[in-house]
Amino acid sequence: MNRQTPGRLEAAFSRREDEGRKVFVAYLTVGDPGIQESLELADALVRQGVDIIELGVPFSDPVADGPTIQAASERALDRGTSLDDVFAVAGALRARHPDVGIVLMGYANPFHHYGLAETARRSADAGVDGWIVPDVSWEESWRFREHLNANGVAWIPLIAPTTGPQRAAEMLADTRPPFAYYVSVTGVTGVRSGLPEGWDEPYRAIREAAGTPIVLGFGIGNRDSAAGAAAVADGVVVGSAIVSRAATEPADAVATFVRELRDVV
Amino acid sequence: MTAFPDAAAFRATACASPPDERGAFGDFGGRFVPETLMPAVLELEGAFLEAINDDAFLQEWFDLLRNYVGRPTALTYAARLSDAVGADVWLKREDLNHTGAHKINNTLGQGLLCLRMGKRRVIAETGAGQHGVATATAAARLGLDCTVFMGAEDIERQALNVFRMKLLGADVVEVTSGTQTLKDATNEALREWVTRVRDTHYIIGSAVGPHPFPWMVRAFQSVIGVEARLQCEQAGIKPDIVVACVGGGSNSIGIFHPFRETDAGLVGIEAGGRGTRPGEHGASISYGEPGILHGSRSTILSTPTGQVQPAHSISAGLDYPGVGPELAYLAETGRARFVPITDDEALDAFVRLSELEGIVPALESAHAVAWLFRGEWGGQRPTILLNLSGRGDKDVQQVARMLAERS
Ligand SMILES: Cc1ncc(COP(=O)(O)O)c(C=O)c1O
Repeated sequence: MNRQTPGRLEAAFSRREDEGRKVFVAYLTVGDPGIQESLELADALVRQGVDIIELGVPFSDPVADGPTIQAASERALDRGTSLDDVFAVAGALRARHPDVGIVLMGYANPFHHYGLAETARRSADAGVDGWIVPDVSWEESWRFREHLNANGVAWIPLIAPTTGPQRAAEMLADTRPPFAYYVSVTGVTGVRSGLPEGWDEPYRAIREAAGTPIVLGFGIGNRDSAAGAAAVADGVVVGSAIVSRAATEPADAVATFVRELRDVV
Repeated sequence: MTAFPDAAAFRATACASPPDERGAFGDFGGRFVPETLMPAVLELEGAFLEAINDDAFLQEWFDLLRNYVGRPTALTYAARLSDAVGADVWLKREDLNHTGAHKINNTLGQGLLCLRMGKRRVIAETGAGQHGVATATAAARLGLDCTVFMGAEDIERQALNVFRMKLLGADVVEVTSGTQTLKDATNEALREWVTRVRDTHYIIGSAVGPHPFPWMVRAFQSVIGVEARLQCEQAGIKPDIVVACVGGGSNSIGIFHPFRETDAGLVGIEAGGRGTRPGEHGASISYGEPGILHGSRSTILSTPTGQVQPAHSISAGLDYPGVGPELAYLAETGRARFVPITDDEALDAFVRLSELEGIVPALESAHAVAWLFRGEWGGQRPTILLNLSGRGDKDVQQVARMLAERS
C-alpha cells in the first residue's frame, strides 16, 4: 500500500505552478470501447502531458452526466465492465506511470455495494489517489471519508455555482482535499460551445477564500474554453470531448486532440 | 360528523417521528445528490418546516383537499369481500380522489409549497402516468408551468395518460436513456432539476429521494391515515392489521404512519412479479439490499456488480427498483413486514374486488387486496384496514388483454 499517494495530487499542482502553467485533468469512461483500450488511452494521455487521469466508473443511473457520458457508461456496462476492471486499469496505469495522479470518478452505489472499506483499500492498492463521487454530498461524505482516510486516498469535493463562498469554505475546511472540483454550470456533463457568461465571478469568490487549488470542469471541449478556463482556474477538466472521441477514434488520435487543448492550459 | 382533521391535530401526527438532522431514519435516508442541488434541498427543508407549521398553509391545502379533491375519502366496509377472505375488511377509498389515486394529496401539497418558495415551474417523473397526471392537475389548478419526464416505453404503453397530461397543459418529455422506464425518467427529472434548480421545483411522486422529500411526502400522505383513524373511531373499530401496496411507498407510509403507535400490524405488499429472480419483480425490501439510488440510502434491487437492477411488475406504479427509506427502516426494526404478491395474484384480485364489491381497483392496489386471499393471519377473524390507493380505470384495457391471453 502506498501511503504517500495523496502527495501525487498536491505535487501535480505545485509542479505546474512552478512552470507557470495549469493542471490538466482528463476524464475517460473505463470500458468504452473496452478495458484494454481504456488503459491504452489513459497511457497515451499521460504521455501527452495530462497530469491527472479521472477513471470513470460506469454506472446504470448517472444523474450528473449528460448524454455523451451516459451513452459511454451504457456501452461499458453492456460489455460487462465492473469496478474490478477499473481497479485493474488503475493498477496497470500506476505501474507504467509512478507520478501521474489517478482519481476514480463514480457514483455511490457500486462503491457501497462492494463495501466502502473494501473499495477504499483496493483503491490504495491500485495506486488510486482520490475519489470523486458526484451523488454524494458533503453532508453524506463522512461515510466515505472515514474509509478513504484510513487508506490514504483523498476525497475530492465538488463545488457548484449554487454553493456560495460560505458553504464552500466550510466544506473545504472540513474535508481538506488536495484539490476541489468546480462545476462551471448548473447542469450535467457535456460539451458546450463555450463557458457560461460570468462563470468566473463565483469561482473567484470561492477560490479567494480557499487555500486549496480548484479545477474547473463541465462543458470544456475546445481550445477557447480550455484557455479561458486556464486563465482563471488552477486546472482544467476535459471529459465528454474525450469520451465522444474515444468511442470511435484510436488512442493516438484522441491523445493528439488532447495535446492541442493541453498546450493552451 | 366529519373525518377531516384540524390543523393542529394533523400536524402533530404528520410530523411525529421525524428523521434525524441528516434526514435519516436509522441508517436509511440522507441526501445523496449532486452539490448543485444541495442548497435547493436545504432551502426546501426550511420552507417545508415553515409551511407545515403555518395554519394558513395547512388551511389552504385542506381547502383544496376538501373542495377540489373530494376528501375525506370514504371508509367502506367490504361485506362480501370480508366473507370471502374470513376477515372484516375496511377499504380506505383513495380511489375516490380527483384523478383517481392518492397521488394528488402530495402534488397539491408540494404545488402550494412551490408557490410559497416563489417558484413558478414544476417538474415530475412518471411511470404509468398517475403521478404525472396528478402533478399536471395540481399545476393547472395552481397556475404553474409543468414538465413531466416519462420513459419512451411507458409513453407507448400509456398513451391515454400522455394525452391527459398534455390536455392539462403539461409538457411531456420522452426519456430514451437506460431502460426507458420510471427509473430513467427519475434520472432525467433529477438532471433537469440540476439544470433549472433556480426556478424549478421537483415534485417527487413517492416517499423517496433526498431528505426532506421522504419525510415531506409522508407528511402530506399521512392525511390518509389521519382520516382513517378518525373514521375507525367513529365506526367503533380497531384495526388489527393495516395493509397497503408498496411502490416507492407513499400510500403505504401515508396510512401506516398514523397507526404506528397503535397495536395494529403493518403489512406492506411489494410487487412479486413473475418470479424471484433478478428482473422478475419489484420487491426491493423482500429481495433487495442496502443501496444508494435517487438521493437516499435505502434498500434497492442491485446487480452482482452494484448496478441498479431494473424491476418488473404487472403494475407500472410498483415497477421500481427502490423504496422509501422510512419503509426500509420500518422493515429493519420489524415494525412493519413486507410480502411480495405475484402478477397473477394481483390480476385475480383485480377481478374479485370488481365482482364482490363493485370497485375496480388500480392494479397497484389489487396487490394489497390479493394478500387478503392468502389468509396469512393466525387465529380469529381480524379487522383489516386496507388502503385502496387508486381506481382501475387506467388499467382496464391492459387487464382485458391479459385476461384474454390467459384464457
Ligand atoms: C394507484 C397507485 N397505487 C400505488 C402506487 C405506488 O406508489 P406508492 O408506493 O408511492 O404509493 C401508485 C404509483 O403510481 C399508484 O398509481
